[in-house]
Amino acid sequence: MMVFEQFRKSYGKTEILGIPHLQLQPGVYWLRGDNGAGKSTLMRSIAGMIPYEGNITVNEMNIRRNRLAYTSVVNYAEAEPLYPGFLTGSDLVQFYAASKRAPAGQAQSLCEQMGVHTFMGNRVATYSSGMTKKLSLVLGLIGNPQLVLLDEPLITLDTTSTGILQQIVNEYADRGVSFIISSHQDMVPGTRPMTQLYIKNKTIETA
Amino acid sequence: MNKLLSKAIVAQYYKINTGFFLVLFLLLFGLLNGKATIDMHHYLMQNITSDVRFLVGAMVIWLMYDVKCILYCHKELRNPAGSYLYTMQALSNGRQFRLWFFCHVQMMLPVLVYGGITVTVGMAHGQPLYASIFLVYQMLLCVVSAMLHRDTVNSTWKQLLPPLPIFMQGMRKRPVTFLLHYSLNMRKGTFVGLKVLSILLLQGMIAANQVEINKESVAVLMMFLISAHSLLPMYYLRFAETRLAFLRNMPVSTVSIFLTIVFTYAIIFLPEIAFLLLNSRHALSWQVMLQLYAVAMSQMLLYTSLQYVPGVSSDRYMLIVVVLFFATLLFLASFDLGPLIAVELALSVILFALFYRNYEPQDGPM
Repeated sequence: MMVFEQFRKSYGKTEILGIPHLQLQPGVYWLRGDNGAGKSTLMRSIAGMIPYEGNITVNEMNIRRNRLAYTSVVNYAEAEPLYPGFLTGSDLVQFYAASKRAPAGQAQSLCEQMGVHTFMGNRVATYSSGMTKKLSLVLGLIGNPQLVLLDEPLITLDTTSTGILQQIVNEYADRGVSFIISSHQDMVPGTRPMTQLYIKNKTIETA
Repeated sequence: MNKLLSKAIVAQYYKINTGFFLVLFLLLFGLLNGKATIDMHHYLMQNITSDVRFLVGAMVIWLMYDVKCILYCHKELRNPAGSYLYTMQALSNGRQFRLWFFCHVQMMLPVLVYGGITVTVGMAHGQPLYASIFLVYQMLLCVVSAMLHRDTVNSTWKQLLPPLPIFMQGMRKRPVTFLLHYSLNMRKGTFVGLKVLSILLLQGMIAANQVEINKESVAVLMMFLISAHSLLPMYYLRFAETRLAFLRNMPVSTVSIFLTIVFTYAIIFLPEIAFLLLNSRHALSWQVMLQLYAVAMSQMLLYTSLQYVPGVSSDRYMLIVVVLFFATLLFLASFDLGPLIAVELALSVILFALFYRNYEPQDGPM
């Protein structure tokens, strides 16, 4: 499903990550690693947010060759999401739904499940960090993704929402959507078994 | 503590306002030759210390700059990242005042230096009354501002300044208008200031050349106004790579993003071009106006694309703006505007296509 070939990411002359070759089968992965190990950098690289050397292929799609197709099926929710304060949650949801070609009613349903619909009409500038996080998770799930990257999805999330998110992840995974979830916290009970990936010594080690 | 405030507030203030100071410097010292510049400033300083109208005018300008500094500090203190500064509440009132006074004086330094020379000129020309009034006024500004900063730190539960109005709040915001909304909402001070400056300078030019307007002089003025607008691409890049960074994970083509930027600049320069169309139809042909509009667009697009080139930091960017300003003036003297527009457009398209997708903020993840 996902292949890394000669992947290398550096900041200046400092190499952060180097993955000569790695193949991951479809599934739900729990990405672990110490602070500063490079989890977010890896997520951002896979999402196409930052440049890197080498190749990352998701279901035979490569961002360098076909950016539009790749970003249509690889979704990403940041650890500390930032959005323009003057936009409302509705503005963003509509934009994501249109860009990622979401099925009719999907965005509305996700908003209701995550409890985002109650503040959708308000400007993002008025949101608390928890509300922004919930919105970012909804946005990260919109469309027809084949791979969803959730960077620290549990931080600032209340207990109820954590359970709901877990349920949504399970539903998506049942439909064949793969996940890479980075988290320092253990998942709540009821979560499907996840393959653990560790970032150690600037590379990925599987459990 | 002084060092911390200098680093966290003063240094950041000058860094963020590099473009503002550059434009001001060009306006005050770059438009006339050396002798004429000195004569002009000497004339201004003499009048500030001898003519009450000039004195009041200078006081208003100094007050505006002071308000700019106060608003900046206020914004930094209200910013979540600046919340650590509230530990200053534990210091005595006197100590807090001294710290903020020193900090504010550093931010006011450009106008205080000019004001200090003005006072000296006034004294030398036997005008001690107005010179003293101006000196005391500047000191008062610093004292009152320091007290305001101290009150802000000690009044965390109060809203000291009313929020500025939010433009087009209820309107649905389409992606193509994101940068315009950003200008009108998150950079409204800069944006409105730029537009007021543009219209005032254009009005001044028309008033000074009522019979016939020279195409070259309009072009030089437009180049100056475009350089003043060079602040916007810098802000846009910062905004696009933080709060609009999610666009990089969206199925949105590079062409669409470039066209959004084109659309933004096309709208931004409408007030200037509308002003010229309404007020100088008798002196300038519509072809010339269209060319000036195209120069404005192509130059802003080039400014935007240049920032995506690896190694172009904000400091280097401002240097490039200055170099481009003078290089374009040379172009204007020897060529038609057409080739300039074509070269700038082609360069901006090529640079954007080459570097946009590989761009990464220099300090690593934002």
